Amino acid sequence: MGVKEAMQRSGIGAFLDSIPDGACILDGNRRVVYWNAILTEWTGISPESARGRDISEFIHYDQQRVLSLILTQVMEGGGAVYLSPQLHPHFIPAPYPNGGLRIQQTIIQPQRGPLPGESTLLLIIHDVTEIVRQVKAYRAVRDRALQELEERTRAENALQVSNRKLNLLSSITRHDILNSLTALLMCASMMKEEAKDEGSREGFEKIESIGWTIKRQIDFTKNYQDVGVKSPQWQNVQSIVNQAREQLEGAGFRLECRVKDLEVYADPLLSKVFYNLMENSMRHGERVTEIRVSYRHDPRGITLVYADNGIGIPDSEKEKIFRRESYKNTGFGLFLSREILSITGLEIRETGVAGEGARFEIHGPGEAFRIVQE
Amino acid sequence: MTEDPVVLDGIRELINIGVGKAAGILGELTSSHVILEVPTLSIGEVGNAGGPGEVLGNAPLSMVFIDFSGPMRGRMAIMFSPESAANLVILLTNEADTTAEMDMIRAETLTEVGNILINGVMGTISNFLGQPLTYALPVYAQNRAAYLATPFGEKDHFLFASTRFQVKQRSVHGDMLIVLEMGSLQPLVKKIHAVMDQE
Repeated sequence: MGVKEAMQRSGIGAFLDSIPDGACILDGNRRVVYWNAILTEWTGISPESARGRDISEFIHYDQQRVLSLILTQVMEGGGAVYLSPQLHPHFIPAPYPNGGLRIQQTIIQPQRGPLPGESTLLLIIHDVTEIVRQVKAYRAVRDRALQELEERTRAENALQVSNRKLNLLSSITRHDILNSLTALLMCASMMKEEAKDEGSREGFEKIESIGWTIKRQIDFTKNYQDVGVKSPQWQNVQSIVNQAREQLEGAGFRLECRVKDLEVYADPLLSKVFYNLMENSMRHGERVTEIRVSYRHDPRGITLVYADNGIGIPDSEKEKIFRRESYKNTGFGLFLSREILSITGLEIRETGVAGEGARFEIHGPGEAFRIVQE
Repeated sequence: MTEDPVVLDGIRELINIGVGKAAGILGELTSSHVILEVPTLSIGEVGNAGGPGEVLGNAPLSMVFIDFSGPMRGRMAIMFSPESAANLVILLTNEADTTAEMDMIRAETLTEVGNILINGVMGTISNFLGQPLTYALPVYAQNRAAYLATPFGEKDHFLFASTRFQVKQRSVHGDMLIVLEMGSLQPLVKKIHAVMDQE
């Protein structure tokens, strides 16, 4: 039975012509006995022309020696051979019409048949040009992203170093100014006491007052320099509120905290925000005996609610209290609290009713909060 | 049977011949001298202490394996740590990227190298037995060593060989594992004894 007849009878020829891969069959002497339609399309070599010729005539010249060894290995009892696109990209050179060679992945499988009583080798060549192109493009994107990340990390580290240096410089400068200012305030106070006339006394009082204003402004810079220095982190709201409560020694109010399991992504200075709210309640609320902290879900995320039962804040002051000018040397101030919260997209506003108590709402998108069930 | 020094020597010799052939092909592929050594060999039962999972631990490995059938039925695998796998691919392809990550292209390169090694060893064993084996296509996976023995029974045998590659003055460590269904080791043991008796 001839090769053609054997291929027809077994149906292998029709099958190999129907697959989208290049395929050929070699006899025991490595001569082509079948050359499929795709290989003809890729190489322009017809099955008639290929048949009977040694496969080495069609193989890329770089691959001749290694292929000979590999085929020997198969013939000597080895199994199927897998030729990767990286080590054998152009096993049988197959150009694209518009230039460039197809990148190939090849499998050589030893088998019995289709020639009666003869061992043959089936070669399947898969065109992986597009996949390889995509993998290379992905690698390029990944490499670019890694490079950008590296540059960003370097820049962040440099920023941290210069930030530390600036903080050190401002800390030393602040310390020196405060020393001089203390001396100035002492002098002004003494001269005020010793002033002979009302005009001089008023002048020294003015100097003293301006000195205290300068001190408050310098204290403000001390607090502000820490905002945003450390990376935000997930914090348990209940723990933060309790911490703030413990720092207010001697404050006699009842704390009702209904935020168990709630965590918020915020600057590590978050505890100062709650400390500041509580301190304000004590200082300005006049009759505060109870503070409640709770939260609610709303369509835009989660809102944390802080409320006391003091005298509240008049409508005309609700926005003013967050201005920098409202900062007094009584702690962090609501201006700084708003700044701290804004680092992670949290917004604070006062929504209470004057006469019924102060009420602060801290709103954030859903991703700024999480519920952690123990 | 598994502690018989004659059998161990015979199998070690077969594996050495096989990896020697593979070294020749790898040398052609890399245009450099490749040294492949098999310093240790052990045989045991899959279910016993010191089985594949225990020998190689729980760390994820890059592995290529081929299933075979015929007078011997089982699976042969070559395994590398992710770092060794990446190093080997870099040595073979001169890629500058030194990350341990294995993408599709690198996995294919490793499949080819594993295939060459496995064919070298199994081809030599098959020739020694004088009976052809039938092979499936090579498979690449990233998994724990124990994964390779999953389809096998506790009484099935495994052969474990530690291998060292030296390419372009750089060393890469790999491990070979052959898992054989019960009874499949017997023809090999018999043949080794027969050859030794002749000598």
